[in-house]
Amino acid sequence: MISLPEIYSLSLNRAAIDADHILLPPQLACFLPDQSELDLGDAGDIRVTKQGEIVSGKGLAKKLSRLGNLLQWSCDGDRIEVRGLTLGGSEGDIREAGGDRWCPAPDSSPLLEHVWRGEFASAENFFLARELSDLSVKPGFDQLLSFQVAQGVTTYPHQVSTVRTVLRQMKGRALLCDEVGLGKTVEAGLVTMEYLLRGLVKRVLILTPPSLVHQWQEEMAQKFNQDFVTSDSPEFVSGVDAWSRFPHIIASIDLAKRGDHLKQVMTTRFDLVIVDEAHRLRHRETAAWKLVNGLDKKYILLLTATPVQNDLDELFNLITLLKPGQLKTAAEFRKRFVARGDRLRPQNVEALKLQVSQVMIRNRRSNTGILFTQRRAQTVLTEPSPEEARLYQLVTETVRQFYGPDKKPLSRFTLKNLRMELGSSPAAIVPTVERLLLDNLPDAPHLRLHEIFDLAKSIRQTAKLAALQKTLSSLGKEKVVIFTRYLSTLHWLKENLKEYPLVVYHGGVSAREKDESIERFRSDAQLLLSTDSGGEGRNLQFCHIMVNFDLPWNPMRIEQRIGRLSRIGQKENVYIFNLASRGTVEDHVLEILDLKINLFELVVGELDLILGRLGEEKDLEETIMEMVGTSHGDDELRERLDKIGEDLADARQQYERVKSLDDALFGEVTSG
Amino acid sequence: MADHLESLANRFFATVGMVEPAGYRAAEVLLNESVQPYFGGHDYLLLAFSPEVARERPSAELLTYGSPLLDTMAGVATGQGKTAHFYLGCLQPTTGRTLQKVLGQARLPGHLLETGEEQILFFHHALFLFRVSFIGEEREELFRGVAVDLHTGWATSRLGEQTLQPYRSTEPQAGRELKLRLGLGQARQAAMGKLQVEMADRVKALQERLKATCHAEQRQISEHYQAMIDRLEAGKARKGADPERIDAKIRATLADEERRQEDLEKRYRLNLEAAVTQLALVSYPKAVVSLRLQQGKEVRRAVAVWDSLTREGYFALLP
Repeated sequence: MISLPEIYSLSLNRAAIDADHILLPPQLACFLPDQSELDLGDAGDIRVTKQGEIVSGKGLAKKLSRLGNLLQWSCDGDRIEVRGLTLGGSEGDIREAGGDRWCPAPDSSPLLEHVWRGEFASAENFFLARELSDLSVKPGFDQLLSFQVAQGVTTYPHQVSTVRTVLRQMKGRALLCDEVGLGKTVEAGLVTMEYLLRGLVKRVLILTPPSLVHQWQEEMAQKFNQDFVTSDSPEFVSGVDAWSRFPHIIASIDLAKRGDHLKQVMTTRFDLVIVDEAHRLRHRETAAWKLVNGLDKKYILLLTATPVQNDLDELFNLITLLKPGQLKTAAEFRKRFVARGDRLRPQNVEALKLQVSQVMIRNRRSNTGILFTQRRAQTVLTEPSPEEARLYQLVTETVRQFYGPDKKPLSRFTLKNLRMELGSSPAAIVPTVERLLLDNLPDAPHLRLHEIFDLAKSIRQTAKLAALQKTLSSLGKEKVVIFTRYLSTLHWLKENLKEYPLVVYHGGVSAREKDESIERFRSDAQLLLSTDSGGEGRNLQFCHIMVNFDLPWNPMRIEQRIGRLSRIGQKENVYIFNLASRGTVEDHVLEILDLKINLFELVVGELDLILGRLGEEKDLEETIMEMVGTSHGDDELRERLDKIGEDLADARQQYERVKSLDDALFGEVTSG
Repeated sequence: MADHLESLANRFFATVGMVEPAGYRAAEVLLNESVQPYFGGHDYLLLAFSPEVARERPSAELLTYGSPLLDTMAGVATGQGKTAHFYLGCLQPTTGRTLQKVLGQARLPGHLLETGEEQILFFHHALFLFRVSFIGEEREELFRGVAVDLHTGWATSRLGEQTLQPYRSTEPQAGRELKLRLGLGQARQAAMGKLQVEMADRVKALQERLKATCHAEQRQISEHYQAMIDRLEAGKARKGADPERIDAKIRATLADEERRQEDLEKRYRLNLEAAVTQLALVSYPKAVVSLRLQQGKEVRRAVAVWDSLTREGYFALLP
């Protein structure tokens, strides 16, 4: 019980009220905060009946009566007594000094004055304010906020547990080493959102290999609605002090460790740093390790499915980035945890696991309780008709003839498009060639293009289309997603598959139409015709059959297609039908991807790790196009493609070796 | 289909202007002049309720959880709905066993000499809604309402808005009442006192957790850097060693350690904040018994109060 103060109580002499001008005592002055005098001429009269009731008085009485029955009145002879609510005791606001104690809070005196003056909002506004304030309240990490923000992300118990562990036990410094396909990126995104939403993090830096910069940007935008600037974007490149100016950056680690960038990035404070493919930081002597170690950062997440590749020292180096001293010094670590004579064999395994589990989470498929289904791929090779074969020959010759830096007038870009469209359908070629014919080209290419145009236009039916129709009829009423790279092919397929209830889906349709298309596909339609750019983030797991009507040469794009159906949550085995014309580049590429790395049956995410081992700067699509354009014949092309196949096979073998090693080492380290 | 946020936005913008649907998951808003400054001086807003719609309509402002627009809306709404006066007209307390009920919950502050009349009196309360923030290595916030009886100074945290909703009426109510004995400032201090008592265990637990973690990490870092320095010192004795260079390395190592230790101090410091965001007066009747008590040699008047809304009983001494 607090000590009770003297209450506000005032007696006014009736004679004083009747006067024109009275000096108010301090208690009454507080009803009119900035005045100590009240001009009754403005305030109006206060009349008191014989019974002591106040019957009129527009000024003072009105002001007082706003407080309703919080004011109490009584009249005794000539004296009126007023008792009412005061602002008393407002000195010493609700604040105490900070540092483990109650901190200064915004002054609430104005709020008190509103009430004291009788200025009340409606109940509706009061409760609306309450509801909106609730949305801006930040509960503890027990109640995760990021799931409300994530768009189209299905989260799983292992991810929830991981996010909580990172936030609570690991205090935002963690090595996330889930097996591939379990959603490390989503976990990192959720942790980021938890910090951002609570205002604990303002500046975020995500460091990735160059090839993943845009994938991260897309994921952060689509799944978490966060705009990140990329280090290769014009505003970043042309801006001054870009590293400190932009609060959310996704940068290639290779760029960050270079010259001027390094200086800038090292002098910038980041609240959260995320490093993807963190196994690249496994050596302490590398510029990348030194960069990350030297960054001024509060929280750090390192993401890799394969933390150890060749040597247990690599694990020490990664963990030292997170928490120096966790594994003592390098020498002590080796002495205590590495078997003599074998740098890959741990000793004191239980003690090591205990130390590692304080900073590392590794979820395994087998302990997530999630059903993972298989992928089954089938190649459907077709025999091209004579017209198709002629078209293929014409385009291939044209590409070879004009491809190369000094071989004008057709640009490499145009030729690449033409060549890739050829792999899709004659319908895909037509608009490109039509546009080229409008250019002022020399006779030779013009005539050749004219021939291609006429031939492509005349081909109405192709062997691949027939094969597709046959495949579809063999599937009965099953729902099927048909992917093509080109919008022209998509429209052409739509015309030729009229007998099926189908919906189309591509980058050109609005969000509403996309939602409706997916809904129709889920309910009535049997086929979904989709381009690559149309369906990111949309859940298609209710369907388990897909057809690649054409195949991108970049395996990552193929992986993205498959990933729309074959991901966590899919309950059926996924069947993939790949269509290609026999003897074409697509046929060779398909053979390489299928036979050498078993692309179509890989787990989502594994392809990244395999391709990352190729050490190629250029992406595979560019490399293949270079070969197509510069080979002197099909035999040479085939030979060169086979070489790529061998490299891919080696990369896959290396990956398998490292994966087995990590599985054996970290088998028991989970997010528990 | 409108989600919770979309319908809340529609309700909110209807109070500060006009709102109309503008296609799929979008709405147009005309803002009243008085709130335009809060929305960048604009009189018109196009709202998008999904990122895709926002991308399709570049002039649209995206409203999602955590978006700055939502914070602005909360700020404006709080500005408009800071205060209210609720009369709980439907509450009908009964008399009969008031003293027994109160004795079941509170200790009598003296020796009971006489029990007086049992009656229903009208009480006014100041309900303070606090936004409480615990800011350490994580940030946790919560709203807590504390109401203070302006006649006796008794404080309760059971008078939340969920309690008010079913009973509130728009018409002012009145009845016989005790004298008002607290100003709003004193009520606020009483509410803060109650809040601190309620939060004490939580604060203590948080502080202990943070300190333990901080000490463990500080020790680990200390040992790590000490080992590095020992190694460097040992290197000085090696043939061909450059002591100056080694000393420079030691200084850099010490500076690095200092930086990390400071960082830890900052990360694990707990700050607490309590801000009153809304204040309502809540008026409703309670059952009261007047008492005469002996406290030492002094005889005092007191009341026993039974609050049928919060199901709490208390005694209060009268002057």
